[in-house]
Amino acid sequence: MGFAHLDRYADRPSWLSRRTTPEQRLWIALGAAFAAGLMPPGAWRALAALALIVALGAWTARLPAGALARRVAHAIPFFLLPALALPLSVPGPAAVELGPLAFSEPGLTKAAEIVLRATLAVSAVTVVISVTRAADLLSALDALPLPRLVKSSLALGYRYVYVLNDELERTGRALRSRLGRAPVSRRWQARAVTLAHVLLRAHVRGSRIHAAMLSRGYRDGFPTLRPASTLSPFWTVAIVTLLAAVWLAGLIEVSI
Amino acid sequence: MSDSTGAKAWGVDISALTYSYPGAAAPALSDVTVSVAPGEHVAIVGPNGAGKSTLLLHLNGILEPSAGSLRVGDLPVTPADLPEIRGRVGLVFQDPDDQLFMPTLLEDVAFGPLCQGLPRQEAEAQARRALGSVGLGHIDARRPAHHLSGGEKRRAALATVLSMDPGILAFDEPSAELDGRGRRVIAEILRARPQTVVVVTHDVEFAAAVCPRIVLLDGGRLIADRSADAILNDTGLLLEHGLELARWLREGAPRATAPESGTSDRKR
Repeated sequence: MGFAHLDRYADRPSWLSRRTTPEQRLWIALGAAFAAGLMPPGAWRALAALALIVALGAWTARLPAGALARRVAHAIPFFLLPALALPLSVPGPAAVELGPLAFSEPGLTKAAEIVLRATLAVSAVTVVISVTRAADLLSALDALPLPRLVKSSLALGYRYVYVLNDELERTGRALRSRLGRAPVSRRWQARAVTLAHVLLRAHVRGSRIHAAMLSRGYRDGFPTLRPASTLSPFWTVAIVTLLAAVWLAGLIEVSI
Repeated sequence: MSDSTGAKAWGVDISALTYSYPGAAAPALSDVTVSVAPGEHVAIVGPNGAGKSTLLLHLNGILEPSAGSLRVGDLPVTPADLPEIRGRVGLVFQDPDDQLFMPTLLEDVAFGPLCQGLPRQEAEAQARRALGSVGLGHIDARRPAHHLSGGEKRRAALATVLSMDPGILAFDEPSAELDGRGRRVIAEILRARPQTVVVVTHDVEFAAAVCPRIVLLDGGRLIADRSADAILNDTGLLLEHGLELARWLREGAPRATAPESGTSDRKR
């Protein structure tokens, strides 16, 4: 299967999962991501407060620190690489010199701030989605004002990542069984051809899935059975309010 | 039309149906005429490339005929009537992974009823009934479909159309990739359906186990339309059209035999 770890922490009873619905958790995740992303530059104490809230969130979700770190690590390269260019491109006095490379002090500060904010935003989202089954999360997406196409793509993507993974594994096994002692270059060539073949098959499968959807009355959008929540939004409102307060504190911190 | 159990059963009239895939040199179906009575169980058999699946896709308007016409009950299969036609004809595709596209099993089975405009509670009740009728009532329906076994997926795919309460059930290779027990379970479920059942397969024994009537297609043309017994007993016809029968093998056909010499145990 290969993706079973996605729901590993979803069924653990925790304070967060008992007191919030998947929809409410999505709003909390969005609130935390916006608070981190929109925090004014230089609001270090507010960012520290936000980090504390995220850590508390992980604790109330019973998500082990190691698991959180591993999941967040997957996203780090996406913002670390652009941030690495800042010390070289932002003008200012050099803090570190490595041969011909001079890393400016304001550039290093900006890079650190970007990495911190992005890590906080990703951590908050990771905490929230880790305690929610992926299927429930997709169902809860209905509550967000996202385009239908995005929601449908995410739902289909989640369902078929398993099927594609199985196909990749099968074709990979078939490939290994025939490559024998082929040179490395030949192996890489064969892997590329296999990947292209699997993508082509995914395209053909897409046509068949579309036919299956049409035959069951599909017109647009994915209707879901998501029941209306009876859980009070008290804790969600409280957490989002706290996040907004931290963001406001950040604004005040840099303005005085 | 309804039977004593309350399930609807529509008839199908296919008249001089011809279909060519875009860019294909030869038509996939040529002048095929078949009628299926309400509640009748009919198998369409033929070798690979005979046009069986193409014919099936016409039943609920996934493909439009190049020539000829189809009727489902009193309705012609035309673009204007597709929503009604698709409610009448439940199509079960060959690969259950194509059919099960929603994040959870329950949402998958409820997809059709929800598309038909049923309220959520009613759609869920109908989905649970459909799961129960294929022997999956005991499993956690909030599970994603990728957690099911091959046989369970096949039954779940059947439940996705049963929940729509169609009058015609159309199956593309329902016994493919199933072990003996899985085939037997599916055959029993299909035999018990009060609806009209159309089964497309190249497995003649399975066809005969489910349907008393068999239509043979080859090269896009209708070759024979007889009782299952008549088709099973016409070994020459089956062989001529690329179909084989395990029973035929039991009745004196050449069998593979161990070579008299030339084998050796390398370790010896």
